Amino acid sequence: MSRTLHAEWTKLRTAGGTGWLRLAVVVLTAAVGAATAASVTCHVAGGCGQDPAELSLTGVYLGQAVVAIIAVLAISGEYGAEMIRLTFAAMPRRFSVLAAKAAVVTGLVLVAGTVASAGSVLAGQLILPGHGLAGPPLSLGNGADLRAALGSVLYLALIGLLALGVATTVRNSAAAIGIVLGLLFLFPLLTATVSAGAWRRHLEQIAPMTAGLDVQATANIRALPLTPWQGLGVLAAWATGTLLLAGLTLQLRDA
Amino acid sequence: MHRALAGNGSITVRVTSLTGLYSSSGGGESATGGSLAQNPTVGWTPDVEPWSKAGIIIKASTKPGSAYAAMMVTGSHGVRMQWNYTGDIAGLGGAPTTASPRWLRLVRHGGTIIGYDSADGTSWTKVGTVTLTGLSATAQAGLFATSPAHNMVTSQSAIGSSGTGVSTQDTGTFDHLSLGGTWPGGAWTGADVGDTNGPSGLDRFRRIGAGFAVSGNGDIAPVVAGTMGAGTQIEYAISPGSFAAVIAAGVLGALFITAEYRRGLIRLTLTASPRRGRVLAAKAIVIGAVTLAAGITGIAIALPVGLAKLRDEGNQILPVTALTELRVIAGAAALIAVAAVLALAVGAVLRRGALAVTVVIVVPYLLAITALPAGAADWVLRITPAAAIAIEQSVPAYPQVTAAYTPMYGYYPLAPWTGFAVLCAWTVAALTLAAFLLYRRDA
Repeated sequence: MSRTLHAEWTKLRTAGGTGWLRLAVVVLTAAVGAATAASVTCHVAGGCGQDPAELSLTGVYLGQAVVAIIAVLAISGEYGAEMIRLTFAAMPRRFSVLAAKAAVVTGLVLVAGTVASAGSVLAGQLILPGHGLAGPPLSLGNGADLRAALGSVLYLALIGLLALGVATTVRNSAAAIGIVLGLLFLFPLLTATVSAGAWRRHLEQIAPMTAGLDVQATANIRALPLTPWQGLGVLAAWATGTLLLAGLTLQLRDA
Repeated sequence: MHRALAGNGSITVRVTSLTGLYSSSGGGESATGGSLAQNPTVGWTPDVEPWSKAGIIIKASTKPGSAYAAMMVTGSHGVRMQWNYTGDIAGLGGAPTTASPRWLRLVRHGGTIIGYDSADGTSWTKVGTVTLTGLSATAQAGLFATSPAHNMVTSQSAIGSSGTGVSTQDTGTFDHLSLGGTWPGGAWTGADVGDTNGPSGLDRFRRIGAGFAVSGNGDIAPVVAGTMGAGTQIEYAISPGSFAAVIAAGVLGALFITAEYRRGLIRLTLTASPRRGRVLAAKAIVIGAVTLAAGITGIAIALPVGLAKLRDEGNQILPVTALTELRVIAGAAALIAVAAVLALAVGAVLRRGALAVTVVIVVPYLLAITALPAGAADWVLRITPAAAIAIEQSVPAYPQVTAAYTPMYGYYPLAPWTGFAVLCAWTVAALTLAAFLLYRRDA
C-alpha cells in the first residue's frame, strides 16, 4: 500500500497545474472571504444577526470548485492519457489504487484547506471589527468559531472525495466537473423555488453543499435544518456513496 | 386623509417638512405596518428613508390597487410625480424646510391629471400630465404619507439571511391647503390604506393650527420580488432547470471538440475537410442548433408546468406581457445554445480543457448568485459570460421602490439584451481565437 501511495503522490505532485490549483484554493478562498467581510454593513444598534465566522469563510464556495478540479484531474487525467491501463497493470488491486488516490487528494486538500481557512479567519478578524456586528469578535479560542474553521477544512476535503468518486465513475473530466458542480449548486436553486416548508427543509437536509456548510454556522444554530456536525455528516455520506460507486465500477469495468 | 372630489377640480398644498423615524428593533424579516401594531413600545430613532413620501393624491378609490396620480416630496429624491404604481417623474430637487417649502398642485380634467410644483406658490412648473383609466366621476383626493421599510443587503449566501429590514415611518407637515371644484361631504377622513394588519393605532393625521401633519408607513408602489417584496417572477419556474441545461450544454459543447482530440479523430476530420475554419463553423452551427431546439422544447414545457406549481403553492406571480414571456423562453433557450458554442470554442482553444470550459461558464454565475456580496456580484454579471442570465429577468427594477435588487432575487445589473450581447461577444472572440489557432497549430 505504501508503494501505491507513493506512486499516486508522485503522479498528483507532478501533474501539470496541481501547484497552481493548490495556490488557487488558498488565494481564492481567502480573497472572497475578505471581500465579503469588507462589504458587510449593519446600521442597526444591536447587530443584524450576521454570523462573523460564516461571513469570513464565504470563500469556501469558490474554493470548493477548485478542490473539485484537483480531485477530478487526479483520476480523469489518467483516463484521458490512457495511463490508467499502465497503472492497473502495475497495481492490479484497483480498490487500493482508488484508496491511495483518495488518501493523497485528501492530504493535499487538508493542507491547502487549512491554510485557506486560517487565512479567511485572519482576514475576518482584521476586517470585521468596525462593521457594526454585535456579539463577541471572531476568535479561534471560541469553540463555535474553531468548529466553523476546522469544519470548513473537512468540508473541502469531503468535496475532494466526492469529486474523486464522481470522476472515477464517469471517467470524463468535463462530465465529472459538470455533475459535481450540478450536485453542489443546483440544490440551492431548486430549494429556492420550493415554497412548501417541509419539502424545503428536506431538500436543505440532503443537499451536499447546503447541509455540509451548516458546519460554518455560529449564529442562529437552532434555525438550521441540521446541527453543524450532522450537516457535515450528510456530505460525508455523499462522499462515501460516490466513492463506493467508484470502487464498484472500477472492479466491474474494463479500464 | 381624504375627501370625495366630484368631477373636475384641483388640490394645492404647501409642504414645510418631511421627517422620519427608523424602528430601532433590528433583525428579523422585512418589517411591515403590522410590526408597529404588534409592538407599539418599539423604540424609534429619527432618520428619513430616502423614498419616504408625503404629498397630495387623486385616486379612484381608497382600495389598494386602484388608479391614482400623486405629487409628493420625498426623503432624498426631491419632488416627484407618480402614478399607477410604476410611473415616476422628477420635479424640483431638495427636501422641504420651513425656509424653503415645496408647493404641490394636482389638477383634474376628466381622466387627465396634471401635476405642478413650485418653490414659492406663485410661479408654477408643470411636472407631468397623465391619463388614468378607471377614474370615475367621483374620485377620492387628499393628503398622504408613506415610508417603506429600511432595507439593508448585508451579504448574500446560498443559505439565505441576506438582508435586514426595519420598519420606518414619516410625517409630512402641510399648510395652505386649498381646493378647487366640487368637494361634496364635509370633513376630512383619516384612513390607513392597504393595511393588512388592522388599524395600526398610530396617530395618522393631526391638525396643527391651519395645517395638518400626516404620518404613515408602508409604500404606494408595485409589488416586487425579493426579501422586501411578495412577488415571484415567472423565470423562477425555470431557473433550476435552465441552469442544469446550461451545465449540460457546456459539457456537450466542450466534448464535441475535445473528444476528437483525445481519440485522434481530429486528424481524420481535418484530412477529410482541410478548410479548418469551416470545420469549426460547422461544429458551432450543429451544436448550437441542437441545443437551441432542445432548450426551446424543454423550457416551453417547463414554464407552464412550473408556473402552475408555483401558483398552487400560493405564490403571487408578477404579471408580464406576452412579449416578455416570449423573450424569457427564447432567451433562456438561446442562452443554453450560445453557452454550448462558447464551450466548443474554448474547448478548441485549450484542446483538453473540457474542465476549464465548464468552469468558464458555470462558476461566474454560481458565484454571483450564491456567494459573492452584491457589489462584486454585479461586476461579475457585467463582464463575464454569466451576464447573459439577464435575458431571463422578466420584471424591471423600479428606482423609486426600495427593494433588494440583487442577482440572488433575479435582478441583474445589465438590461436583458445587453447581458446576452456580452455572452455573444465572448463567444465570437473565443471562436475567432479558436479558428486562428486551428490554422496555426498542428492537429
